Amino acid sequence: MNTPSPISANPTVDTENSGITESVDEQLIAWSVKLNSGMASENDMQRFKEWRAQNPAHEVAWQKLYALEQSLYTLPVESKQVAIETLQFADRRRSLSATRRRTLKLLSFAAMTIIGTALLANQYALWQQKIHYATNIGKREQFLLADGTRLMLNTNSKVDVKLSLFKREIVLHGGEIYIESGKDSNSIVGRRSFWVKTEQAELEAIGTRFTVNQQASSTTLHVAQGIVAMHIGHDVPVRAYANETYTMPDAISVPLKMSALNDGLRMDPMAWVDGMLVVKQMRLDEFAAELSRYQDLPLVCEASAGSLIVSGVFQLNRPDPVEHALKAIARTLPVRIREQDDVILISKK
Amino acid sequence: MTTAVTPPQQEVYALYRSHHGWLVNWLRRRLGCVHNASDLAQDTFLRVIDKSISFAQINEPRALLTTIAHGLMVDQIRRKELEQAYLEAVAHLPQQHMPSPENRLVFIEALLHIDNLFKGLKPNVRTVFLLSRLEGMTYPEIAVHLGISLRSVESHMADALRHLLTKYHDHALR
Repeated sequence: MNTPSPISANPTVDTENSGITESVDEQLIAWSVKLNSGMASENDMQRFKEWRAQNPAHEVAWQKLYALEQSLYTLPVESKQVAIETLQFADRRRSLSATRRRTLKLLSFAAMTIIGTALLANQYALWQQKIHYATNIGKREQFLLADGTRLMLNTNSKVDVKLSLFKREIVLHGGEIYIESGKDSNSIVGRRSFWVKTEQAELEAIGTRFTVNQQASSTTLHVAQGIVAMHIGHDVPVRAYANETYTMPDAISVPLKMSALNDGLRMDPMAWVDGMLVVKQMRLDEFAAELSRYQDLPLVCEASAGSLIVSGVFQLNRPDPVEHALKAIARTLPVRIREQDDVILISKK
Repeated sequence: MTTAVTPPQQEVYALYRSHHGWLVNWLRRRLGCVHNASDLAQDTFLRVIDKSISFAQINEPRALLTTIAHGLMVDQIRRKELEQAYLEAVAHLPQQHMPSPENRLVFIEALLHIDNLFKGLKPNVRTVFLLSRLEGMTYPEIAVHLGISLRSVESHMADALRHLLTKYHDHALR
């Protein structure tokens, strides 16, 4: 649309038959721009009043714009300043995710082009663009991957997702993830195999839901549904079935099955997915280590208190999950909890 | 499909019966969450009833359903984006300047409205307009604040108003 300069435009009644609505709107716009400049005079106001009186269509147009603008002012007064900033942040998020979408589109286009030489090309990492996902301490986040996989990251976790032509791979660099592997129905080569790589093992998911926890020197796998094959080095893979938990420590080439019976399993490995920490007969020092994953401040459990036993359900879906859990413990166990030199100290009373 | 003489409720019922499960699946594939999917499917059918279209004349009911469902999904995403952007925006504010939780809901709702109203407009144009209306800045102040010329401020203001009026006409026609 060709716009006359709003300020210098001298609004006059439009007498042409064609485009009356548009030009009344244009006149109104010019008036509005002028009157809201902060530099309008009494005289301008007077002339605007005259313009409105000149023609009923002018008054109607003005009323309509007025009503439209009023709908902007339902913002609570105290948050008006935040409004502009919030919208700007939202813009930035959108342009970021648009870039990501473009990249994915580009990737699938690249995959189509290369399909002819696909068999050979799979060996190369050229288009296996990694997408990095991470969470801060105390945060949990969920992502939907391009192949339909649902990926959830627990506190302080990092993964790289590589979706390549014949293989889907998630590299767990630290922390804990929950996966509901997708059907991969859009793949051009049919369902691709699905792998999670950790420091200790490579886990092959066979249509399934499971969690993987990368600890300092071991990996823990819990399967909720389906089957996961655990590959360690070149040994024959071991299969984990639904409701089974395995730990794979450094330097041991067989996965070890954990259960409540052999005292290995003191915590529900899936509970965090629902925002909970569920422990049963767990030593307090173990529990403190578990809790400390959810906040910055280190938790130190004195040896005297370490052997106390904790059972309970603790909510992670709250502003201060650790503080809340500690308060609950202090109510049931003979411990004192205090903050000292930037650590939280748990000691026996 | 149903015939043209069937009362609308029955049409909706027939539509629901033959496509609800499919729609939930369609949404679930996109959302990855079955609860959210069934909520949105429910909302989609509510919209269909609201629009009181004669379904007998719809050749592709699934195309209609997915169009509506997609719109709802986009709204939901925009709302989430706004909520997260809001948290980012207030993160550095001192406690006493934080909007109260009850105002927060009203705020997000109002922002969603503004966001929709200015959809398709350049962010800078929107910012100029909001600085004028929400912060009550004069044009010279806005020009200094954003480091643009006075003329740009004026033409952005005109663009924003034109956009609003066009939105109004579109809406009135619907």
